[in-house]
Amino acid sequence: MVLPGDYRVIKGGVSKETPKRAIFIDIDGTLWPDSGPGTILKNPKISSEIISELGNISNFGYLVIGFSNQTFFGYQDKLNFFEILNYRSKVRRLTKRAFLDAIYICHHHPNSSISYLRSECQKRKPNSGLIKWAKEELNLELNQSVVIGDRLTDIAAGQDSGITKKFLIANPRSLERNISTRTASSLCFTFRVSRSLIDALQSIKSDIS
Amino acid sequence: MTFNLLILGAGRGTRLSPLTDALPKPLLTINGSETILLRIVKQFRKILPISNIWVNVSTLPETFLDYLNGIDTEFRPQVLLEPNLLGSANTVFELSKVHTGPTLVIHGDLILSSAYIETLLQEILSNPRFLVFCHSRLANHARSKITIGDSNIVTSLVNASLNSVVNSDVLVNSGIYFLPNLQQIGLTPEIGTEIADSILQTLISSGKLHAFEIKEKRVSVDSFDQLEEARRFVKEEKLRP
Repeated sequence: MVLPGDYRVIKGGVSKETPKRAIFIDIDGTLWPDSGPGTILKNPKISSEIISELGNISNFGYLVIGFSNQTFFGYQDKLNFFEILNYRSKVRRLTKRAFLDAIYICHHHPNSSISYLRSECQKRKPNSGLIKWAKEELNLELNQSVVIGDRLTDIAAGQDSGITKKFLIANPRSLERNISTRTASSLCFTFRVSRSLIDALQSIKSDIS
Repeated sequence: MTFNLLILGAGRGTRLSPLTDALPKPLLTINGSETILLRIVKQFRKILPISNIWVNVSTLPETFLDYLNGIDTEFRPQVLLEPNLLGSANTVFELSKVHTGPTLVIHGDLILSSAYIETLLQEILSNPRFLVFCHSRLANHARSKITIGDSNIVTSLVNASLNSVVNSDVLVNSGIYFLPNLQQIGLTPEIGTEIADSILQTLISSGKLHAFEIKEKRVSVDSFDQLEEARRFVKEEKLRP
């Protein structure tokens, strides 16, 4: 079994026919606290408030999509078959646990020790490949969509794909490494600052009502 | 009519060093724990029909974002984060990519009276056009000088140091601009240029820029003396019935 450089799960029943808007949510550090590479394998807890808000926001006509750089495998010397199976199972389960309609993941890293994961991948944030991949597969209207993340790379990916509504869950690491990141179309980043994912989701609802 | 408010907060504030070594100038406190930025936001939010408030951030960005995180959502501006300081003309140009409607631009170091903002609103609503707000000042203290022609159309805006020193009042730029349509400006400014040197000059060339003098009180916090003056002014205004 080979781990592809990119991976995605779409929940059954998600319609691909009619155009629709989406909320892209970063996973590590946004959906749950970031505890380093492979956080998902450590069974991180998602707060009941977040689960409730995510279930609620779907009623406002958004698809809720997780998007993430997951470089855990890329940091290892060789791949473990059972770990990959376990990982994929946790990603699939996450769609049900957190009311996510889909999850899009990039495993590439420019310095990965696994040769086929070593790449300057266009899907890896701050690039917008994951969002564009989801747009094509799920028929999304990006100008009506939203990005929420805890890093400037999340904001950059959203901005580069044409999403105007972006929320940065600001923390001391938000600007780390990425302060010089720019998109091709802009010299600056535009976003709203949020205290938490719940704060951002409530702002989205308040904008609608 | 509703419009955007853009607060220019990205400058380095070097004239107020060391106060601004660890704190961006708009985050200096002016009244107890209230910052210059929060005062501007609250005042404008109260008086003007504003749809969105923006602040550009470049100096000490982590400190700035941390501060914004701590204030109520109602008063929390949206951010234009500039990894490298763009200059205010380019900030306006970048904003025009996400917003095209009427925009009021204000320097993030201005302390204005409520009467000032009410006068400003009346002028904008009575006749929305490209406007630079100005005030009267002794020529030998002025940094920029505005000359106007018929119907208050601006004919020139120049650095006052280029002129001979005259001990009489002249009109000077207040650092507040109303731009009814960002896309009508029609230029791509060079990085590092300021509104006054770029956008306003373009508008002057095409005869589109008007000036309006406001006589109400304002303080620009660009020195330690002015910071103290601003604090006194805010205190006095608060005590006023």
